[in-house]
Order: sequence, then structure tokens, then C-alpha cells
Amino acid sequence: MSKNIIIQTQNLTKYYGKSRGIENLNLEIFQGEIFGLLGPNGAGKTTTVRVFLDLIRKNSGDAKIFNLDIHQNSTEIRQRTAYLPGELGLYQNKTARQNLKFLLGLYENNLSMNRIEELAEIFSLELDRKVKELSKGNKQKIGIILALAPEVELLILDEPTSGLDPLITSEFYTILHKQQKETGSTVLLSSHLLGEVERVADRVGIIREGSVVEVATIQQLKNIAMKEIKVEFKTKAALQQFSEKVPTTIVESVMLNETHASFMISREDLSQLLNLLSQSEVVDIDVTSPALEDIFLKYYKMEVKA
Amino acid sequence: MKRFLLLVKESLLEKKFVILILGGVIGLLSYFIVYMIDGMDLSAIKDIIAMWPEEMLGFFGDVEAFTSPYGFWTLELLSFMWVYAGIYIVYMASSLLTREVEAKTIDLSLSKPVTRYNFLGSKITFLYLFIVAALGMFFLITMGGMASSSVFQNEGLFFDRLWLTYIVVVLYLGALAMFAKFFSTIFLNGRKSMAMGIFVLFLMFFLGEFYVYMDEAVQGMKYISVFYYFNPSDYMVHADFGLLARDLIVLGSINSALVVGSLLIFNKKDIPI
Repeated sequence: MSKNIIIQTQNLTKYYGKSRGIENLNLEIFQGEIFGLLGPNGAGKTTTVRVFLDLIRKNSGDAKIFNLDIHQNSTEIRQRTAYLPGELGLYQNKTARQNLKFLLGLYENNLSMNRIEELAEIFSLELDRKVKELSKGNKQKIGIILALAPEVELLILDEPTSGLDPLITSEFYTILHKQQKETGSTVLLSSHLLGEVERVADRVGIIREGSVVEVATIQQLKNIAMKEIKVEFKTKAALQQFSEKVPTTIVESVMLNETHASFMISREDLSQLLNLLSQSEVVDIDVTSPALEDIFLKYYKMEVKA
Repeated sequence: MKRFLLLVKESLLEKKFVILILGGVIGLLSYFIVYMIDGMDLSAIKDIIAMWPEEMLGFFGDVEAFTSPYGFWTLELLSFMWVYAGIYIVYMASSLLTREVEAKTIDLSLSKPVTRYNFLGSKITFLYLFIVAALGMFFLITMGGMASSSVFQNEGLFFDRLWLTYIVVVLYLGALAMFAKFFSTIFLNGRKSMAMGIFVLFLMFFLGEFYVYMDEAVQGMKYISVFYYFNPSDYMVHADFGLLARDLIVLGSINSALVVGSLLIFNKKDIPI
């Protein structure tokens, strides 16, 4: 059975004058998944999100959300979407409650204040204090409530945990997961915090120079990536013998030190390497998968080389 | 519609004290001038004014503009309405949208199911309601003052003229505000919009009021000035309803064109990050 596509873009392009925002961006996000959009500042994450919400207009290409055109049907899309922007702009002279009541009141369906109060209690937010008196973390909590309180099918979260302490961050992801499982909603999570994305996302897209260069599950990305091998040999001579035998084409980032060797190798070449090691005098061996951060950096090193 | 009204209500609640202060202060000033006229012998200054050079007298209107109670009140209040209220309204019109852009509150509002037309339309509606309410207070206080003044009672209480003039003043200030609003949708930047709004205000004042001193070949530029279509002395003193009708139509058209232009431009603009 094919999965329902919630967000679909084809060659989506947005230029700000001569400077590139996004270029030929292709993306498919499925119903009920948490999709992490990864990339450093200036890669095009925020532009992508803002084009989706019709805050800025594309130059070319197509984009559909809920199978609706993002410009022609933007109001209907936004009725079914909650958004937490990266730079949260709240009405400073209003209280948290007034901000939430006003902004959530812009949805068609009436929102219960009980849900707002329930979330405020979970996140320890004082609803009746003016926003200008709140810390950055507490302001961010208002943004989180704005995203979690309405009953919507799609959540677009841009750096949602910015300014939050680890406990509240953890609480946020727990609630997000629970709500997503209960409602079957889809989450687009734009972030540069790789550890967080790794923990919560079902799939990630890596965005580089305005285009998505890789989309995969975390596991797939780890599989694609090279393994890091650390070997301790019995003697220096054994290490020397091994280094002469191993083809230089299959290993990368080789470091040799006395009886220790460390290098990177792709999964396909792993059996060949283990064969060679079986013929050597090995004391210890350590095979590790790289963290998402290393994979991410790999894509950006490719950019530097290019 | 519910969202549109909610947006208008929010703006009104935010500015409720400003409406009361602005309307109240100009209203009290008007009350004071009506009270002052009550104790003045306006006919005594007739001879002095008759000695003024013709160009100078023409600039202010005519002798009656100074020597009749309605003329004197109009000269002191309505002719300077662009100073008492116009500059503040231009400032507010230019900052109403741009402040939301600069504080990024617009991102949260426009990410909800609100159309661009509704969003800007609510700001424009608020601007007109602000002007209607503040000037409404001013006119009501003035009418109270005139009703209790023996000089105005003797002259006759022309509340019909006053109400018609009120509509023209609303459209006149509305047009000044809408120029600023129009620039704010183009620039989406507070400083630029404010600078352009104030520049246009003074440029139109200059063209609309001083055209008689310009070369005849360029005097036609007066027609592009909002000030040229605002002649309160003629409505209040001479009851020139023909001129009033013309001014109502022209000012109404300028307002409509600027509202439509602003909405169309804003609908096409990218909201800056």
C-alpha cells in the first residue's frame, strides 16, 4: 500500500533578487512521519518552510501540501497546519494568555482554553505575565504551545527547542511523539541540532545550497556512511604487514600509531577487510557506525571539495 | 469574517487610549476656542484684516474666515487638523504594518488561516475607525461647546454643515493616512514608509496651499494635492455644498484608489525574514 504524501515539491525554486534561496528543491513527506530537515544557516531551510506557508512566493516549480497548491489554496493549508517560526515574534505588551488566545483564535475551529492551560502547566509557563517580562526559554514555550495546542494535520517546526533547557526539551519531544501517534499528524522539523533530529525523526533530508541532496532514514544514512574501524595489533610488525596488504583504495582517513590503526571503510568493503584482519595478529577490534553529525559533515565536506 | 473582525478588534483594543486622548485633547482645544470666541468681538478685527495684502488674505480665505464665529473656529481648528492629528495618523499608518514585519509577529498571524486581504484590510479598517472615533469625539465636544455658546446660538447652530464637514475631514485625514499605508506596503520598512509619508504630506501641503505663489505654468500641480480638496471655510462659512460634493467625491476616490493599490501590492509581496 502506498503512503499518503502530505508535502510534495518538484523543482521548487526561490531567488531573492540574484541570491539563491532554494533551487530545484525536490521533496516528499509522508503522512504520519517526523521528517527532519537538516542544514546549516543559509542552506535554504527557512526559505523552504516560508514558501510552504505562502509567506514568500516561489519563482518556479511546484509545491503541494495535502495535495493542494501552496499559493492558490494557502488559507486551507494553513487551517490544517501549525507553525513555529525560528525567530518567534510575539506581542511583547500582551500576556502569554492574550497572545495565545489571539493567535489561536485565528483558526476556524474554536479552541479550548483547557488545552492551553494543560500545556502551560506541563511546561511551567505563567500565562498571565507579559511577554516582555519573560525569559527567552519561556517565550519559546509560548511558541511550542502555539504549535501543539491546535488540532492540525501538519506541524512545521523551525528550531523548536531553541532556548529550552534539556528537561523541557525532553518533555516537548515526549508530548510531540504522543500527540503525533494519537492524531497521526505529520511533522516537518527544521533544525541544525543533529542529536535532536536523530532522536526523533523517522527520516531526514539534508539540504545544501538550496537543494535536498539526500533523503533517507537515520539507519539508511548510517548504512550509506562509512564505518569507523579501530584495530590494535599484537606487534608493530603485524601492523606493518597489514598496512602493506590492505588496498589503499578501500580505506580512508588512515591513522597509524605504534600498534594501533584507525580508518574508515564502506560497508561493501567490510568483508574484504575482515578477511585480511583474520590473517593478522589482532588483539582488539572496534567497529562503529558514525553519528548523524559525521554523516552530515560528510555532505558538507563534499560541498567544500566541489 | 470572524478573523477579520478579531484582527480589527485587537488593533482597536490596543489603541483605545490613544483614540480617547487624541479625540479628547483636540476636542477640548476646540471647546476652548469656542469659549474664546464667545468673549471676542470679531467684528472689531474686520477693519484690521481688510488692510492685509490681497494675496495674504486669499491664502487664509476671506474676511469672513476671520470675522465670523464659524470662520474663526474653522481657521483655528480644521485648517490645522493636519498638524493636530494628521502627522500622528501618518506615523501610525506607516508603522501599523511595518511594526508587525519588524517584530516578526506577522509570521505568526499570516501562518494562520488569514488571507493577506483580510490582514491588511483589518489594519486599514482600523485606521478609518480610529479617525472616525477620534474626530467623532472632537466634533461632539465642539457641538456641545457651540450649543452652549451665545455667539454661536445667535449665528445659528449649523450642525448639518458640521456633520458634512466631519465626513470630509475623515476622508482628508484618511487620504493622508492611506498614502503612508500605501508606502508601507511597498517598503515593508518603518523608517522608509514614515519618511515617505511625511514627505508626501508636506509636499501636498505646499502644492495645495501655496500654488497661488507659483508660476502659472506649474499651478496645475495643485490638483494632485489632497489639501486642494479640503476647503472647510467654504463649507462652514459659505455653505458651498457644490464644492463640498466635489471634494467628497475626489477625496473618496483617492482613498479608494490607495486602499485597492495597497491591498494589491501587499498581496504580491514576500514577507521578509
